Amino acid sequence: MRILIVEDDKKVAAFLQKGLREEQYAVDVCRNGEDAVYEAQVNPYDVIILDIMLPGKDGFTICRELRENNVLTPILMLTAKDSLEDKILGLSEGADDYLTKPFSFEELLARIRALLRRSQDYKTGSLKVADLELDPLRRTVQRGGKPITLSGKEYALLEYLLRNKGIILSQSKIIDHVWDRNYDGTSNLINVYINHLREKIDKDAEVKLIKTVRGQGYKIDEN
Amino acid sequence: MKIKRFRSLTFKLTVWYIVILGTIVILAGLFLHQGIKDGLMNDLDTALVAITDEALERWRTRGVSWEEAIEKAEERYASYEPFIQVVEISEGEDKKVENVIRSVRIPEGTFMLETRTYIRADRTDIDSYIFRTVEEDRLSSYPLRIFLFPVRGPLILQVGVSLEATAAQLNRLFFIMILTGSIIMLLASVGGSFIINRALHPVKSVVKTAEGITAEDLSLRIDLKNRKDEIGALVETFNSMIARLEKSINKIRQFSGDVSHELRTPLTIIRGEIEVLLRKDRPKEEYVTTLNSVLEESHRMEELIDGLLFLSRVEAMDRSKGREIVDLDEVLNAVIKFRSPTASNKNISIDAKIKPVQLKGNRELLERMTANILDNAIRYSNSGDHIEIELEKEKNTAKLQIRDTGIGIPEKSLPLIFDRFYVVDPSRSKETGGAGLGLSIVKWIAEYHNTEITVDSKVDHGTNFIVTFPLD
Repeated sequence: MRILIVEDDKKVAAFLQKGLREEQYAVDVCRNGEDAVYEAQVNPYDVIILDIMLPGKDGFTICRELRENNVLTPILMLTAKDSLEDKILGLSEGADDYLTKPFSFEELLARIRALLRRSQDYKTGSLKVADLELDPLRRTVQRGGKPITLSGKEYALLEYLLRNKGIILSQSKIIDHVWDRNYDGTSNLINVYINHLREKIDKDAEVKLIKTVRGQGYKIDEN
Repeated sequence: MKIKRFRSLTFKLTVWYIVILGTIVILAGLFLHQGIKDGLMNDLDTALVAITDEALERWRTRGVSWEEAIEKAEERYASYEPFIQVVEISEGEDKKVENVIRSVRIPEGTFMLETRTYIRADRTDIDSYIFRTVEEDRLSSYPLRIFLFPVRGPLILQVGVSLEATAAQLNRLFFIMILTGSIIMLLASVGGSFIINRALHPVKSVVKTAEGITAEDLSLRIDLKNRKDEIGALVETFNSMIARLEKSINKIRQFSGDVSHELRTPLTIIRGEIEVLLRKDRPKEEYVTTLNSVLEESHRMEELIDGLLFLSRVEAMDRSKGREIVDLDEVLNAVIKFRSPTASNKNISIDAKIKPVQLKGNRELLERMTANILDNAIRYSNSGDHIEIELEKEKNTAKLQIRDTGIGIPEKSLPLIFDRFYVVDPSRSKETGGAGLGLSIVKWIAEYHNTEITVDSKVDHGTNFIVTFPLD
């Protein structure tokens, strides 16, 4: 899942990026409003974390402009402004959630998960297909009750596939959502990760879940 | 506030109005009544004289008897129903009054006046006529108005008329006056209280609006649609007072909002960096880096809190106190000495040309001001840059210049640099550690010392702070 952080304070942006990357999110950072509006339109982010007090365009304006341009990515406003008026304004300009600084990193993670779940219409926390289960909160994966250990990127790839169960995902789409803008590998890399995943998930099972659709991409489903 | 009815201004004004108006109406009534009464009496007296004249005229010139003269006069003035009587004072020592001739309506032996009045009239000459008002039950149940006229020798002619008609007229007048007076008072009270109510109505809307104005919402203004009277002036004063309050409360609110933002950012960094760090085991270097960063942020908070405390302390300070003779050159040398290591660490050279200057001021504040300017010069200069400090005495002033060859200030930012929390480039100041309070403190101290500060700056060429102290 790919996240855009819009934050002018270098250090705040840095620890957010570090912490979220360690949670296997692909993370990009913008330091000002103009860049943010551009980046959010050209890249398919799954969540945008938006500061309000920014040089140039403020967070409210960015939020409104994005919504006007049909960018429907969930937006979480993260700001030192804690008055009720600011919260109401933020939410009415199109933000989906609001968190005031200073905040607990755990809470931020929980809210990001909630936004991802909401936007993909999941009611429960864990993602399932057949007897494969991924728990985004505990970051665990198991098949038929047997725990499976995955690397960070393998996990991120599986999560993305599961969140789009039954949908064919092209290689470029996978790159957009699982890797951040610094990705410069070839599409072969995805093949490599898909093979790793198959090795760990499908090898010992009767039903193979990860499927290759020739010339189009990959998908995960039960039949 | 709810005002009790009888304490209200409307009530008080109405009562005063009624009392004053009532007094005027009663006084006017009394004067009118008296005037009309006098007029009626005057008319009556004229009639008495006319009747007397009639009787005398007949008796004297036509040579008729008294009886006939009296009868004719009575006939002629029948509407007055006069009593006419001629009496004679007997001669000799023992003065006695006798009936000579009288109107048939006067019983035998009845005299309208007392004996001594007749006697006195007899003694005086012919012009000594008398008007009298007397009570004589035998003639009339009302008082009688009498005209007494000495005719000749002992003969005295008198004419009396009952005051019954006059009294009836006065009574009717009195009744009409009471009635109209009451109606006037009633109408005036109703109308007066209506007018007073109307005049005071804006006060009620002022009260209503004022009740809605609180520290949370000072945006309300009283609208009286351009009244140009006293209440309009009052409301205008009130509105401009609210506007001033709103402005200063907004300023305070803005300030506390800024303070909270400025304090929240380092706190967010400290908390966030530590929380992310603690999520898993890491190599030692990562702990060191994070701890250094956290330390840096706590320095930033310390500087901010320090600045805020300083501002709140000096703003409460009595401006007339705390001044002494200060050697500005000494203050400056001490400040430079203290800052030199920081400057040389950044490879910035400091060159000072300082002449002795004494002025009246606050040593601590002057130290703070020069230190803040110098700190800024060091903060916004790069390795290899140069700072020149010059203090010289001019005619009535001392001129301090702190010049650097640093990064400079963009022209559009120059008017704002003395504002609280204003930083030219937020990302830059966070790296260099400025909290945006330093120059607002400088400005405050400059104002305290009646000092003028000018700033010349050019991006990439450097900045020159010129402080001009008045000497007296």
